[in-house]
Amino acid sequence: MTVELIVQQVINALSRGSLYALLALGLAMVYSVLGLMNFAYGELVTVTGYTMWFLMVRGISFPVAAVIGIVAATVVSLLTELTAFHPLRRASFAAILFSSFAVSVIIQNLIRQLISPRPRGIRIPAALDEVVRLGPFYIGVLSLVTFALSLAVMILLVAFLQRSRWGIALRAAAADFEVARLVGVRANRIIALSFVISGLLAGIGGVLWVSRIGGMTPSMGLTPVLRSFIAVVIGGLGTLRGAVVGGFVLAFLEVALHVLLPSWARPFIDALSLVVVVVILYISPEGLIRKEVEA
Amino acid sequence: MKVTVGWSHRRLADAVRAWLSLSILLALVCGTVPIWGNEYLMDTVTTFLIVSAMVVAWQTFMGNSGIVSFGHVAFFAVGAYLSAILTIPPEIKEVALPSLPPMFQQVQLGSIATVIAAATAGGVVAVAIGLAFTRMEGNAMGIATFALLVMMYSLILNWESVTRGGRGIYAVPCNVTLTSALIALVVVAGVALLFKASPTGLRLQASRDDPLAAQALGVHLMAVRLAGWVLSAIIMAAGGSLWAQTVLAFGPSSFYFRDTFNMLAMLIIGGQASVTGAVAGCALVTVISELFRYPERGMTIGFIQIPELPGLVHLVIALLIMGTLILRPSGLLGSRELTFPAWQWLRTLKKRRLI
Amino acid sequence: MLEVQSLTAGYGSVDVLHQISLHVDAGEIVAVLGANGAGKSTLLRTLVGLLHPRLGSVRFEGQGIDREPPENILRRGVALVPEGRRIFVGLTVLENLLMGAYLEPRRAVIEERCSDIYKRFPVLEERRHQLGETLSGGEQQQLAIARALMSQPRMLLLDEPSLGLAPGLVHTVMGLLRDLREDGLTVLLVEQNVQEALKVADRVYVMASGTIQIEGDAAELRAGGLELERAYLGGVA
Repeated sequence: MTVELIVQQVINALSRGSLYALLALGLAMVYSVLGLMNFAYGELVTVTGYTMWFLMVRGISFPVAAVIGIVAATVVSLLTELTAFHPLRRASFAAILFSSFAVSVIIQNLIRQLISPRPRGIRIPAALDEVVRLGPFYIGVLSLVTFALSLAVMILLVAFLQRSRWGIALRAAAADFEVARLVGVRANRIIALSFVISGLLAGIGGVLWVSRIGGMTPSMGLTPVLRSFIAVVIGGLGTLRGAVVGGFVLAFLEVALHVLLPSWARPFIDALSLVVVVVILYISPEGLIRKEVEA
Repeated sequence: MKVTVGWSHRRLADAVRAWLSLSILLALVCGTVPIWGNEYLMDTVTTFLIVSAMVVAWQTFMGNSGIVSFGHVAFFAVGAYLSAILTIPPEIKEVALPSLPPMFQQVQLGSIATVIAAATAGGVVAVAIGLAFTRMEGNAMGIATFALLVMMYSLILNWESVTRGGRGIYAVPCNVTLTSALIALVVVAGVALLFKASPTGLRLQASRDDPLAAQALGVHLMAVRLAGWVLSAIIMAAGGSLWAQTVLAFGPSSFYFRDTFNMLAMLIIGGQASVTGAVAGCALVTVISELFRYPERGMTIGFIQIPELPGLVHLVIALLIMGTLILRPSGLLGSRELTFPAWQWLRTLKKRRLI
Repeated sequence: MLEVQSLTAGYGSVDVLHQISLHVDAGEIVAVLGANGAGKSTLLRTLVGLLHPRLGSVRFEGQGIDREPPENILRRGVALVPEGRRIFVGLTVLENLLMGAYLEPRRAVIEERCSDIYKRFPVLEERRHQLGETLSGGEQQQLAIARALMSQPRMLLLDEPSLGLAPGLVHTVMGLLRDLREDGLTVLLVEQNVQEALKVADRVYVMASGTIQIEGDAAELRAGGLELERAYLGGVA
């Protein structure tokens, strides 16, 4: 195990971690305000991907398609709140969980029906495909862009949350929804805002994700939502900060296990990280699951 | 203050009545099936009966405890794969599963022994997992079952020596008939209804409706949840065993999100708190799936050409779930069980001392 | 200013408040006393819109507010200081105050209100960049009240402000309420601490089992001891 190998893997993990952190933030955003673990979140990535494919196949350039893809994810995210989650605001925890499951199936199958049921590939711009050499290390341009873009978005988000009136209101709502209403924060608007931000993050993460894989399938949404879910739990208690930490920890864990484990054990990495999740849920049940939100 | 709950004559009578009503109804419906002479119909109904049994198993835990479980297909998988290993002829196992331990390699059991073995295995796994899970707070346990789902799938997919991974397992002998499936469902329904009326079941329902109050009355949350969890797992695994012996070939994809989603849909739409609801939900979803299967593949009705509509069945089911959750959250039957008006009528006659 | 008529409210199918009628006139401090479980918190939650009454009406300055959500009721000028302080975790003292003034979009106005608050609560100015949860119990109570005052309400509702506070701090809080009354604020106070509440209130209601048992001037009740005790604990017939 050379130093070079370690550094190379650290670079990989950082890039992967930043993407996970970005996606996990989107999931945690809704969770922190509503207490809802949104299974349909992964489908937003699928929406981004297929929107991009749809446009690019008709001659639209990658950057434009990417922006429209992000908008699509944001719109769909808001729509799921308005049509599915809003009517169920007073429902039980289990009912809301089911509904996010159902919503994810609906979105997936609508994509199958309206856009394409088949796996598709997209071609990312040649510039992103390049590999840069830094001394003895190779870094893909896409990895660099992923890291830089994710970091930039996270910094912007932090600024929004710390400085702007709505950002502070969002944090207040996440801290204590009821009291936020007592100081005049409109419940529905702040929830809608959290879904919009969630969709935005999923969209940006989706562009990066799809670029990384080079393609998409209608059921691809499972992996990002699973990773985000694990990151949010590992990072601790569904807080926004925790989501970011969890994303990086998960990435490092995955990369480390991938390198250290013999090849027959590698497919079990997923199962292993879930065992960690169960253990955490076992140890700190109170903190993770919040009380129902009264609206 | 501890309140002791015992068997109540009335609850038991209600349970028996419900069981008889359901069994007679099922027997009548299934009795007509062979008349049609359609093999596809017979297979569909047989599968329906077995899946119903599994949904009832699921109901036994979820309906009584109020805790959502996303991971029950794990027990389904345990039952199915174990049964496959136990019933596939040794000659085929030599080729298909060469690295099985010799004890499993050479054995070939009949269907009843296999079902019992599967049920036992399901129970053992459930106890092991349940001891950890039931200690968690209700909502946390729900999320943990989601992890169970993914873990079990990952295990099945990768434990090639036992499951043949993604290639799937085949050559399971067909040991299950329409009649045996019917009997199985009737038995399962009886057990479920009995549990629902039993003192343990009642305590579990109390923990569902108000965990704090239940604890104050001496209900041991972990114990009753574990009881429900293990019982439902045993039935689920038994159902999986029967399923394997009907379907004859299957792969890991049958134990993942799609089937979890389908069975949960049946449970939610039919009514979580009702055994009859579980069966009714299964029937409804099965009928809808069959109905929409044709347009999904694309067809022509007279002049109208319907194009291929992939995923239509799932879309419709998901919309049904959303509709149920928003408009009628307790499902079609809520917590009511089936009783024929005849019973009420008999009761009234008895009251008026006419008979 | 506030008129409550035959208010009946509760959770699910269980009513906690039964036909409550009371009123608060402008510029007075009214205390609602009662033991745990008497329904005092439920009363405040219903008044502020977190709970909708099944029957009865609530009128503030002549307008019905019983079907309004809390966001709207605040806009009419009624602010609640909830039980247990409930300051925003993860937000600084300043951010908590800013949230209190959420309805006010003008920076300058907010800053002015902040400096007024700082004059009244100097310790909050000291700690303005500290996270709210790092403050002591007494300081948090001050922050909770300050936050409510940031919206410049015409009426302040307080849910057991003395809970968990050392006696000295309770004095301070009560003194604060007296000062606020001097400045023209109307106060409805829910309390378990009978002594302190009687010292600061103008009028008093005593609740038990979801109904009003006694209504009267604080001065009279201070003198009358025994009846108050009975009502407080179990209700007069």
